[in-house]
Amino acid sequence: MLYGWVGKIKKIDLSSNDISTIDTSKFIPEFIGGKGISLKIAWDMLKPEIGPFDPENILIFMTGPLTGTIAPTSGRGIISSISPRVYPNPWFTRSNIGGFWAPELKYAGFDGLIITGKSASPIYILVSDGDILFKDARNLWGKGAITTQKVIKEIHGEDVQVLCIGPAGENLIRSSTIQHNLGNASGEAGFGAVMGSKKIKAVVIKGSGEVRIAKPNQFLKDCKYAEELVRNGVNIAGMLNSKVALPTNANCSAACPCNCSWCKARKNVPAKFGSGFLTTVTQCLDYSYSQKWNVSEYDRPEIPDIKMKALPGFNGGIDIHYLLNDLGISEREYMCFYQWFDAFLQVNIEKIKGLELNINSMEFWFNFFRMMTRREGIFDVFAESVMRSADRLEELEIPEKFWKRLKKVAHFLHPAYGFPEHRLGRAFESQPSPIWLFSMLHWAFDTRDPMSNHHQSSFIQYVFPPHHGVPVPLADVSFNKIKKVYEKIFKNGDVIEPGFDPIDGKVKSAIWFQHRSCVIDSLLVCDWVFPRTFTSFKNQLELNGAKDLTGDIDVESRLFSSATGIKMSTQNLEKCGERIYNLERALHIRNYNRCRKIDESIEWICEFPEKSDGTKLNKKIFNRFIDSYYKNRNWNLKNGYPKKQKLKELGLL
Amino acid sequence: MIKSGKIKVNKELCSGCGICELACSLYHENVCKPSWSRIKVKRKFLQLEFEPQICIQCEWPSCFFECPAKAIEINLTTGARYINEKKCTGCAKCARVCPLMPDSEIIRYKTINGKKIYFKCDLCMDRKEGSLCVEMCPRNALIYIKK
Repeated sequence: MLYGWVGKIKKIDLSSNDISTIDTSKFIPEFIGGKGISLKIAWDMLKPEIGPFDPENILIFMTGPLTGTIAPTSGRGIISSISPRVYPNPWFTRSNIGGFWAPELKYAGFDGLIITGKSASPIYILVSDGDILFKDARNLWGKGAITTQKVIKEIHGEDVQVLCIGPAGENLIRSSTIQHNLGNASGEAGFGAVMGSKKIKAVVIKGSGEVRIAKPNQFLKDCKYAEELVRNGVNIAGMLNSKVALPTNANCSAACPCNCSWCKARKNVPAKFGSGFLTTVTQCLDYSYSQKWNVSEYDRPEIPDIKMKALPGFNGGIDIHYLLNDLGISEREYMCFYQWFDAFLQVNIEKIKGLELNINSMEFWFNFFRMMTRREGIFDVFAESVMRSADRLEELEIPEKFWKRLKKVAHFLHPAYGFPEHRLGRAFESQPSPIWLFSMLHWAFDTRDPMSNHHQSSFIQYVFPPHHGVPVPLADVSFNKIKKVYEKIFKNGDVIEPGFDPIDGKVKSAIWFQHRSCVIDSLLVCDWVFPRTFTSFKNQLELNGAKDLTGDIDVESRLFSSATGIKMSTQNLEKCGERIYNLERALHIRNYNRCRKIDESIEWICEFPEKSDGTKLNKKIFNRFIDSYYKNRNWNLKNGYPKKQKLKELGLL
Repeated sequence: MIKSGKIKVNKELCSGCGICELACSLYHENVCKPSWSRIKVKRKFLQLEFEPQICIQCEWPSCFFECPAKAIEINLTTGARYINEKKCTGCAKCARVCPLMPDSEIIRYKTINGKKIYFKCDLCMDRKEGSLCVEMCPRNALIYIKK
């Protein structure tokens, strides 16, 4: 009998209407769940020539062994597919999404769904306690994501969980999202368009089943212990508060005991949207880009062509968020288009083929995104996202002399793979050294914006000046205390010294974060909370007085072991993380010719100075980082392929 | 009639996380299964309204008086009105007479070997630390009031 996992993954072929079952036990415990199992399935099923909108592309909804249990922050799921967003050539990647759908999928009897093929007409898939039904969705086609959920809940009851797309996904907008509830989204990878290409309007899940636990008493004990660690007081980022309950807060996901800044998005909500509006991305952008954005701060001459400005619609207003969530477009796309159009204005281009760039007016954006989802006229170009639009400036009738500049700005906003800059400290938030160095290493080898890797490695930024994006509650935490934590975990506290050295140490710790990110994306738990490199305290005073800030990095293995009954040490769990990371690498080498040259695509932006401390690197230093990385991973120095010996060691060969 | 302690719900503080449901089913049934939980969070996700529903341990409990099998018993320490699963015949009378049902799902049933067995909140009477959902709720939306 399986514990933790429910045991079945359903494969649905929409072209032939075939539904088959794959046993989860084929993949466990080696690939854990979530990201790991999705990658193994992709490895087995995806041929190199398949594109994102081909019927043969697979869309995988996957959960982990902890999903649906009481383990803190375990209510998440992961969606994987070939991402149309990736630039220049789409490839397979993943997108972690919170909410309540993933536990429901397990209660319905499945660890995951694999959808392939293409339906002839719009449908929604109803997953109900072991049954899978296709329902006609022609009347829902064209409706917004929030309206769609309302209609579906009227038919199937308030308790069903709905993953759906808006008009953006239907019309294959490359930055379209899969939406869930009010603001949960699989945002960055453009999977809404994959769902749209398969003519699936929604996946509706209803389950009354169970997730069995191997050692219920021990698991409850472990969960309570973990909960204390994650919710008890102030953590290093000053974000997770204690049992302070604000009536305006709502959790983004099931089984989350934290009261982090994402929960606080319900504040200042106009009555017209009902009693509240919760969206995670909204919160991120609101926080970083309305309150903390200061034009003068970003107006640095060293960063050519980019003068960041605060976005309209973020200052307490939520209309634009509601629109984007309803249409199903990533909010980061709005952020990038705004900055990109601003670059047009800077060279006195005020009109693009009759479209006046009134970028500070909300009316402009409301029109813009609605037209974009209809792909009319020049909006057909914008629907391809900023990076691809920048390749089609001729069609937009932009004078040739501006092409280079405008392309460069687009590239600056999307430093690699067509994903918006995140935690590199160049275009958006500042990330003083060495934090951007960790981020750079994550970016270099990942397949997307490496959010789940750099969230934890970036948290130490809050004790570095300048404290950007978050208030400064931690001035009393000395650098030495942070260093001690790194000494304990990496046996080398110097890795958080601001300079490049020790390169080897920095690389090793980045690799550790990458393995742990694979683990949390596979279990699945929240990357804001795990791994617990730092502990949390009841209050600020206790934090200031604490001698040791080290958390407990064994929590995940404890939870895994007592939930599944499979004894797993932290070391073995990290080995699974390494296996998953190498499998992703192998898949990308086989299908997309991933090589050292692609890994180096992040390097150019690091030659510009980081915006708060001005640190930068050059090709030579970058190559030292890459060499060290390959060496530590036992990958081939020339092309970045994992060596046979490494693959054998991981059981992949 | 001996009075009972009760769990008071402050729905304004509930954030809908469902930890109470999972804790309840894990403690009582050894599985994570919200549909077998003695507490149910009624959620309206699109309105962000969450309301935990749980037995209010009536002073004069209809279920107690109406149960033909005398399966509803009273715990002397906490005063909890609980269903003795061994005696329950699955007739559903308790659920029918509960003044809070069907608006709230207070008394639910599970099917074991084809037989319906009803269950409801017993305030975790055999747990010396008291009600687990109250202990686990991260927002203090549940409070235990002694009898």
